[in-house]
Amino acid sequence: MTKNLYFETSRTLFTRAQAIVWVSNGLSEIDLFEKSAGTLLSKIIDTTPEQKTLIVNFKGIVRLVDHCLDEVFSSLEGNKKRLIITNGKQLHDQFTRLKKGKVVDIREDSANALIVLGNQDPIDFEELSDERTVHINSYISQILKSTFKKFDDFKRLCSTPFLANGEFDSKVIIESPKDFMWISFYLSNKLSNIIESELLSNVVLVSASLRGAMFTSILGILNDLDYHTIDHIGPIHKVYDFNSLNSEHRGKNHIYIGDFVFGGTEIKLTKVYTSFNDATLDHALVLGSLFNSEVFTDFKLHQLNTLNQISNEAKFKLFD
Amino acid sequence: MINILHITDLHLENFEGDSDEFLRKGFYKEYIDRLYQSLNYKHDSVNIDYLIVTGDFINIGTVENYSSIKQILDYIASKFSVKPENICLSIGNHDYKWKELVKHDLEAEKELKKPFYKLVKEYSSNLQAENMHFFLNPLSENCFFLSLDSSWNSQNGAPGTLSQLEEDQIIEELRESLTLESTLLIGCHFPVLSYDNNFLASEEPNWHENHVWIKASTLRDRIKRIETANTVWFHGDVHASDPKSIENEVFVLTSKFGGKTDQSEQKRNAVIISIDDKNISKIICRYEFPTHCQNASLGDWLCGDKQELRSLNPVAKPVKITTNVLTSYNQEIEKEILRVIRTKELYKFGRFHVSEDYISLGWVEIIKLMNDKTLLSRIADKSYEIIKSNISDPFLDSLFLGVEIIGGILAAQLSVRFDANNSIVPIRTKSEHYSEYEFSHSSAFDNLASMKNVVIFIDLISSGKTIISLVNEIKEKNSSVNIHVISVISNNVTDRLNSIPNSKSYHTFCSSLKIPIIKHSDMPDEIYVQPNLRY
Repeated sequence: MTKNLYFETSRTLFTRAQAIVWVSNGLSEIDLFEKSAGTLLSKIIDTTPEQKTLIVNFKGIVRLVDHCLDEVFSSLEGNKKRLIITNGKQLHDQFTRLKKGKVVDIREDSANALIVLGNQDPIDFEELSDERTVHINSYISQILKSTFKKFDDFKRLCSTPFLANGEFDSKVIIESPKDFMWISFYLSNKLSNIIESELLSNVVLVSASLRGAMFTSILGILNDLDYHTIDHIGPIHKVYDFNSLNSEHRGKNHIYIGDFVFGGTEIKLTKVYTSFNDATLDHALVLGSLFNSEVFTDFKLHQLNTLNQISNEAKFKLFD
Repeated sequence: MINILHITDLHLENFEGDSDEFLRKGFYKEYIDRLYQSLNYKHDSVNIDYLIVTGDFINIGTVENYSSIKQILDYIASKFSVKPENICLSIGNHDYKWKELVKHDLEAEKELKKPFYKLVKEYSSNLQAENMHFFLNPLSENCFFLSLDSSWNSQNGAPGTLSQLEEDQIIEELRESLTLESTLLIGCHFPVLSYDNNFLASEEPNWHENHVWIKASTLRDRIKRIETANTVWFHGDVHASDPKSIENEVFVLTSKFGGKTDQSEQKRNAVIISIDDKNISKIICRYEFPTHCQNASLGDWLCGDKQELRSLNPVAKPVKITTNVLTSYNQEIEKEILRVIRTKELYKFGRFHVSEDYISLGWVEIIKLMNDKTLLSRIADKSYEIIKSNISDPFLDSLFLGVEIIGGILAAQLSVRFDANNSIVPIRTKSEHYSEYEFSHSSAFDNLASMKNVVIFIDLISSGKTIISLVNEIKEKNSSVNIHVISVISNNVTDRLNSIPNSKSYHTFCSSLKIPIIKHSDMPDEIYVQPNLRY
């Protein structure tokens, strides 16, 4: 399992503290770093060669329990290993307190908003950060590409006017533990950016399909947002639940979460449903879309990429 | 007939000083005398043959207390007329200074555990295998005490790990020593099975990982296969009492005996187990704390009636391992499920077409129920424990199947923790709810033949028809696969499904909700009663 928890580049290993918490303690207290999470992190440190820097993104972690870093400091003691904490500036004092008698240097790099533990030799963090970004973007592109399954011939896509030479199936991602975990964190970051840049409050996530529900639930947990699934609107519009609207979400800002978008019918219908609850749906976050975001005027589409850029093998034409 | 007195968790810390411990120098004799008197007042002539103490003799590694522990054990033995060689001890996680272990180092661990084994040698001088992960002490021709070190190879005071070789050594010695007439008494500090109704289990994070020796499940199953007259496990650690019998095994979990008197919420217990050729029975003695804020020293022991734990007439033969007993896995979660259903009005009454054969007269809006992040995550965490106690690492040959939306969410989120394959199974395919794209099975589902374990997550089991059909479909593809079913809610109707044919285990988080179901043919025509929902 540990191998799923980090990425390795020529000069770094990098991971996210919440990924470690998810695996070691589950999702019920995803903001809490416990002792077993520390044990797992120390295993990753043990795996890291001295010439590489381990970067751990502590975004979302607000609490550290006593003794959670005992093994982490043991793994950093007596060697030249370096652990860099990003998005953990607020935890600096706790790191220092939990070090106890261990001989490990801890330095706050306020210029880069980092905490550096262990080896304090100078490094160019910007270069390491770029290396990390390139690697994760490439990884996300690869897993999106892996969702495309080519047909023998063109087929009509269910509930759309399009013929396609293949389909994009997000089940491929959901069924791969590593891919599901990392795309969840990637989408979680995108979602935070949308909420921040669009100044949204009272946000509720909503999905309307079987696969969409898998992403909605985990994004709700990771971002601490309410979520709801209408069972279901797409691809076939046949609502099973006789009362899909949730009175608690009346008047709130809904963000649609889904996998792949063609004409956007599912999103439009979900918008209609939410409007019956005096709520709004002005934003949608999806893995991929056939068209650029500008095509959709009823809502703002935020996509990781267009389908053609995800896979240049994908071909579409209108059903004749 | 043999009678065993079981106590555990003495947690002696300050014997000589001005302490408020039950086993302090100035009180332990009175405390033990009162137990003896209470037992003999309630039950005439209970002659104790063996004293079993299952660890945590001292508190947090205060090894200087072992000489005082010997005084206390000697006093109990003399009071109950137990021969010194019949005092049987097993080690607990408080009985050595585990915090001095920086890394896993068995030699250092053995060194730290030496004071405990010095105490053991005081009573069992002939023991050959000392300072090991186990020792087997022949108490008589047909009675053996197996002392297991459940903290073996653990760095943090949690349940430990036995290597394959270490496990084999235990089994080999048992097989050489035991016969069909043997009684095997096992002292093992950490329980080898879950005690989920314990109030601590619902409050302490990672309770099962810290207090249940999950990794000994294979050892337990292998011991179970050795044919003996009786096998009785004695446990401590969790500070709760619950002796019980499961098939041909008996588990005696006893609450702490010592510790500080101010912790009045934790029960103090001593348990007497009697074994004869007809049955195994228990007497639970508990220390009643005084009322009206009086000093805890003014409490008294109260011994209950003798109750049968297991009938031995006729002697039950070892049976194939199965845990098909429907249980509400965690009472706190069940309460929360029922509370959310009630407060959010998620239970509707009407005519709901839920399958080709049945109409449900009740409907739980389970998607809305599971929109509660805390509830969903707690169910996922407890499901993690269920899986850990049923399946051994690695999980590469395990498949998590999630039925519909809620099952799919649980399967996907949990597969990350186990690095297991997962797949979503839409079952409403016949009702044209799904496109071909959605209900097409994944490659993981197609690779069932190579799987050893399948865990099915399902939101609600009503008539059971769907889950039975799915289990049978899986069994047709792979007859040797072990199938475990976990449901959020299981219908509590009169002829409820208490076990699922062909599955190895079946757990639910809510077993008390009633959802009446009725055959289509028994309902009035739809012109009189319109359906609220159609399959």
